[in-house]
Amino acid sequence: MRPTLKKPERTPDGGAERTVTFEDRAGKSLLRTEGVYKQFNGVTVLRDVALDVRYGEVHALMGENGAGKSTIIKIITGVYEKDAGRIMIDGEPVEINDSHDARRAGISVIYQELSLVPALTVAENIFLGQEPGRYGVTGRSEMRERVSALIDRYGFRIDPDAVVDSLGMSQRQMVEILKALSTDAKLVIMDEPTSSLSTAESERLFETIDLLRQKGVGILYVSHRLEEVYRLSDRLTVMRGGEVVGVLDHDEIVPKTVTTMMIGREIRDANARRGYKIYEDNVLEVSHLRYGKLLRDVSFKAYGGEILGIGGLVGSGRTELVKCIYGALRRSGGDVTYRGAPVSKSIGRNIRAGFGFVPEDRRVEGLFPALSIGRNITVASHDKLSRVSVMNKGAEQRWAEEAIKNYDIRPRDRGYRAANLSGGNQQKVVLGRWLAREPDVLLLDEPTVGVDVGVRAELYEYVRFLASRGSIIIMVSSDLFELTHIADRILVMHGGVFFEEFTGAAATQAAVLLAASGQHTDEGVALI
Amino acid sequence: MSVRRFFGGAWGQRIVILALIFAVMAVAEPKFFTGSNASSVLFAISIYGMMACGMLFVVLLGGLDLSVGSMAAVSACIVAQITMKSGYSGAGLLTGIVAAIAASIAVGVLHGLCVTYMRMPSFIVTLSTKYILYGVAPIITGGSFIYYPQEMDSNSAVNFIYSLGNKRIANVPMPVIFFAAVVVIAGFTLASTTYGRRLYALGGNPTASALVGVRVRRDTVAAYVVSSLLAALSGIVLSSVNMQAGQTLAQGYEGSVLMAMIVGGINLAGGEGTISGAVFGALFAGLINNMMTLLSVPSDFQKAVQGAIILVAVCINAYSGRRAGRVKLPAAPAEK
Repeated sequence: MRPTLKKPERTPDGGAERTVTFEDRAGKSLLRTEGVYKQFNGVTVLRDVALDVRYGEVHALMGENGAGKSTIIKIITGVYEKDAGRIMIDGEPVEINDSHDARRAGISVIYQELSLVPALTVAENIFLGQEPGRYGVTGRSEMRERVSALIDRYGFRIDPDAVVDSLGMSQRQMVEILKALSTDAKLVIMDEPTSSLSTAESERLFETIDLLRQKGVGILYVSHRLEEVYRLSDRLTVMRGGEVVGVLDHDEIVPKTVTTMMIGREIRDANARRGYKIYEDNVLEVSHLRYGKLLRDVSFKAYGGEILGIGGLVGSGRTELVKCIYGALRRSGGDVTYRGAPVSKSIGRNIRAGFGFVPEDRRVEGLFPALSIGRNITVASHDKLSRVSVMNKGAEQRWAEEAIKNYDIRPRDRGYRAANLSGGNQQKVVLGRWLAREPDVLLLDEPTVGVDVGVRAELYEYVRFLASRGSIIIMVSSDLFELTHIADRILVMHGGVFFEEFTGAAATQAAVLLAASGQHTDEGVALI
Repeated sequence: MSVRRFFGGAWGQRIVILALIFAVMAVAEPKFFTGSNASSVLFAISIYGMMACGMLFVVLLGGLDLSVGSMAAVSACIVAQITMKSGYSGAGLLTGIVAAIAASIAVGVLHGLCVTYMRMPSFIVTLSTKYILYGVAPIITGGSFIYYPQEMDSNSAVNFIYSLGNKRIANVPMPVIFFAAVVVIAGFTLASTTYGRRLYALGGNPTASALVGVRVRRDTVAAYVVSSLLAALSGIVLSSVNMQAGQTLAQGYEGSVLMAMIVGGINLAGGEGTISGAVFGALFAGLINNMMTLLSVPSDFQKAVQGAIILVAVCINAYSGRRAGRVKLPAAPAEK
């Protein structure tokens, strides 16, 4: 049975709607899931997941990439169907099959990409699609009053007439939250809400969250950032490998405990490269690199033969770092030199000098979906496959076919449209484009996102082989396993600078994870 | 099956469509098959075709060039006016042609800069220059048509102009030879040069192109210059067919060329399209327009028919594109 939800009603005297708050229910169970299972293509991604969120609590959800956080949220909000298990709201089982069901059950999600219309006011955005009024004429005064009432009720500080375009990110999120509350949401889910906020803006968001908590709203808060989880949450559920590994009360939230729970027992590395050879003459040096607010002062040296891992949270400046080196972003200060000579600001010149770059967002920045596999591979090597600007078609074909064979791209058909390839094969195409050139400096940004385990192992193999031939590999990654097992040395970024460097046995997942949150490892934390 | 696949694919299917037009004309209007009509159709096809080959470069980048008709008019006016003012001297003719080429390059560069640096939609930019150029043309000519003197034996410059439009080599009219040359050069550029490779890449994914070292702005500006340049060339050839130049020359040709693009299976979103598609489109546009003229369709209504053809072709493309997109829904991805 579905709980009935009262529609906001208008009072005869001018429009203020009936106040719905949940203070009286604080501490009672709001959302519970029991025994939720989910498989994708035969792979179990959720196993017996039990969540319990109460009224008036901020409940944090943490876990490594792939732990199942997003999947459970998508099941709660009706994006995915669960294979087994129950979802209960207020103790009553509910069926949530789509976003309408979720909204009716009082569940609302604040998305990372905000869905506001910049040209409209706060009030207009909140009522977008459900404007009060008749015959298509918006009842402006009524809308304003209802929004003002809503704002007052939660004690937010925001002007309902402000145009969204003029607001900062944290205020925009406030509008998103108000939008959720206007539909009487009792559970607000936030997925990494601070990833695009500055410190000050984050603090304002936290104040907003505190206000919601006081009004009895339940908040499910997904984050990678330990310090804000500690600051905000009443309880924390930690997931790992599709399972809930534990629920901590506020006082139990200690970095050591949490990271240990997230990572589990660390398997000491069986297949890491040992005794790799450094090619000292092949050196890339970055000194005092700056890029706006994202990179403050970054210096390091990378040598041929070495795989240098760059860790850190999303938004820590990792992507900007490699893009600045490559020439895709114009740095605001500092120097980049390769073999002693300054690196050009022209991407084309850098490519000819031996650089290559695999971008993070394959679909937007890497692949040419309408082109064939062959053209996708040769697109970066016209310099080697042409004479006075005329393509040598024979060489072009051989180049493509060799790469398809070497990097085992399926189907083995250079005319096949890249858009129709699987994610793993698309990534092989994008990587193969560069590997075929045997670049001296290969920059990788999240090279295995969305790639299944088998293909991953192959990609690592290719990259390692290239490193063993003396190339510099710089690999940005959010995947702790990838960093600690594939990279020979790890630099972790935090707040636009290198926070800590790890090599050898010190490069544990726990230490890297802590450093990414801006904490140094003390003795004994690293291992269980 | 998409219109793009249907028209842009095998010539077999294209020939069926052209044969249909011929069949209709054979029944409806025997005059279609007379020699004089055949050459006027060929001229029209050649002019549309040269413009289409140029516009193809821009459309491959996901842009449009609506100024081609006006660019043709202006360049013809420049050549005619300077030649006339020089007293039909050879030097005057040469100056005129150089000036027309320079003007078309300038317009192309302007288009390219507006689209790249100012991030303006090409549709708006080229629509504006279309009006500007149609406004400039009567200023160049002084408001009336300029007619080249018909006594061509006496003057080498006039003779030269006349031969551009009317001479035949091995019984092939010069405009067709120009068209063929343009097809060969443009086709080679697109199919076999690094610039051609970059154009298809740029049209398909500009962000990724920049990251593999394509100089996006330079290559984009070049495409607009090609389009303007070929429009200018077709304008000069067109004016030499009838030995006259004025502001209404090639008026509205951009509509026919746009129809040629779409019927030729060239994806207006960029990245997909071939020179053979542009050639087929030009054949189609030339034949359809000629058919309507012969059947005494009023010229305003001809525009309506053109519009309907464009609408239907785009509609079928959009529909089949959407269907194609629906076929392969990826399985729900595992969590990132």
